[in-house]
Amino acid sequence: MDAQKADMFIMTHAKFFEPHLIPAIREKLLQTDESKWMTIQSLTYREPVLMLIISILGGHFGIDRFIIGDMGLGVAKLLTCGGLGIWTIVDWFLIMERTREVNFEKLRMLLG
Amino acid sequence: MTRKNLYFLALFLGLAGQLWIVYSYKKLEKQEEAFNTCIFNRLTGLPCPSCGTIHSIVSIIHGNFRQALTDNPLGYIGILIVSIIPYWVLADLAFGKESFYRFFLLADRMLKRRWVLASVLSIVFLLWIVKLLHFFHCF
Repeated sequence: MDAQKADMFIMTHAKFFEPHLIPAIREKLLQTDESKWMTIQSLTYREPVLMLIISILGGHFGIDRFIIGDMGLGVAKLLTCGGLGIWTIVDWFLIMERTREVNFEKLRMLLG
Repeated sequence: MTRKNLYFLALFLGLAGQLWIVYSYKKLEKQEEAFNTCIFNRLTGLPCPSCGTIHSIVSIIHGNFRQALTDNPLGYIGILIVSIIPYWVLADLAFGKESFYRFFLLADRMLKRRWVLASVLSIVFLLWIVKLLHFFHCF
């Protein structure tokens, strides 16, 4: 993939990933075949700020964890009343980073 | 989720849960109400699906198993989680194993199957409906 496309992707999608992973993503994109460009562009990512809002509103029931695909933790959170309220608050600080991690895992799976 | 993050979360929440149960147990022994941590209950006045879990756990500790079922059947799952997971994590850390992490990944994979997740959520939802009917004195 040419550098212009990789940079364009980074510019438009940087907010979905951890800042320290951006150089690695760029490198990976440069090594990726051009034919994957459309698929990479059409991939949907979870918005970290939106997940924080969901966590504040519905984190008590584990909805935030269900949405990002952490089903095990979502069920555990639901069954324990949001970890007796403690986990709900802890997740307000963790959920954005976890969302970015999940986004990166999704992209990594596609890039191979 | 990485093994390190999961173990930290499980250990922290497991130990916090145990401390919370001890605190609630002492409060309920003195016939006082423990501090209500349920945000949903505080906002709406209605019980959430897992409200009553602490009462249920205290009833189990007292050997009052029928009362525990009335308070909230999820108390049985709650007491299992709180009493097993922190020690399982500690044992893994002490012996350099990752059996809890493998168990977590297996459970996570299982729950990603739609019918498994739907079954679990349906049970929780049904229990909640029963709880709400009980709350409104429908029976």
